[in-house]
Amino acid sequence: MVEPDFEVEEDEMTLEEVKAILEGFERQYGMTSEEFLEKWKKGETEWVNESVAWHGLFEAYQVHHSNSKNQAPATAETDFSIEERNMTLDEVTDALKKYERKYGMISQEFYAKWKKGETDFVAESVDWSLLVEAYQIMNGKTVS
Amino acid sequence: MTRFTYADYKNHIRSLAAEYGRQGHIVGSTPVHFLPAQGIHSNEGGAIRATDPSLRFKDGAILRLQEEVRLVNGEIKLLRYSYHYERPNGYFFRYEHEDTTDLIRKPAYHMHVVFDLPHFNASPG
Repeated sequence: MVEPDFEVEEDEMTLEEVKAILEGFERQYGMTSEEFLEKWKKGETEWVNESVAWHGLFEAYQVHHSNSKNQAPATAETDFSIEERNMTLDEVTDALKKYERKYGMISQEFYAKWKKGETDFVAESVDWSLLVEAYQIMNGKTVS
Repeated sequence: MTRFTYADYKNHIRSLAAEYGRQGHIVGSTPVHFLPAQGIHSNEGGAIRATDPSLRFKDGAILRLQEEVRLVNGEIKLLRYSYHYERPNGYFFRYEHEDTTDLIRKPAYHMHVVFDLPHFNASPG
């Protein structure tokens, strides 16, 4: 029987192995994996030959690192719960204030812009607009 | 013919969350919050929000969703929605449906991938 002259090694990499490779990329290119990821998202990593590998490994590292941090002795069933209820006026107000701080404008101003299709810069425009309308219904007043 | 109620739809959402939680796909405390919606009687619809905190998957990815729902002739109509899925590395996509003033630049049904612009055309969900 003819023995194959090669074999494919399919062992899964350990977290430490992935980390070591990432550290190698970081030394080679003089930036952290987080910095690389930011640049990669902006399409600014054409000069990094291993950008696909770096991105893939960093993604895998984050997933496994997150899993290892989140591993709890509890089973999936005990680690899960549904918190279901009607939002209160105070909660709606807090949620509106959070968006107002984030985007530096009051909800009334946002809503007027949203109606005119001028809120492309607000990623949460659906949520914010629903909250504004709920606030108006719950409070019977104009959002301030 | 079976006619659905808004309560049935809320039960449906609750069941989905419970099932994915039971299977271990989503973890932690999952919020399912309800809000009144403009021009919709509370028996006929409203807004559903699982946003703060987000639904969390076991791999660290998150899902934020909001829906404005209205019952029309026994059928659930999604008047507005946003489903934002994001991985720990920042990759995201978001399906949305909302009113638009410019069908070319921003189709009423659209999606975002990795960046907030452009609005890619998407099939009604």
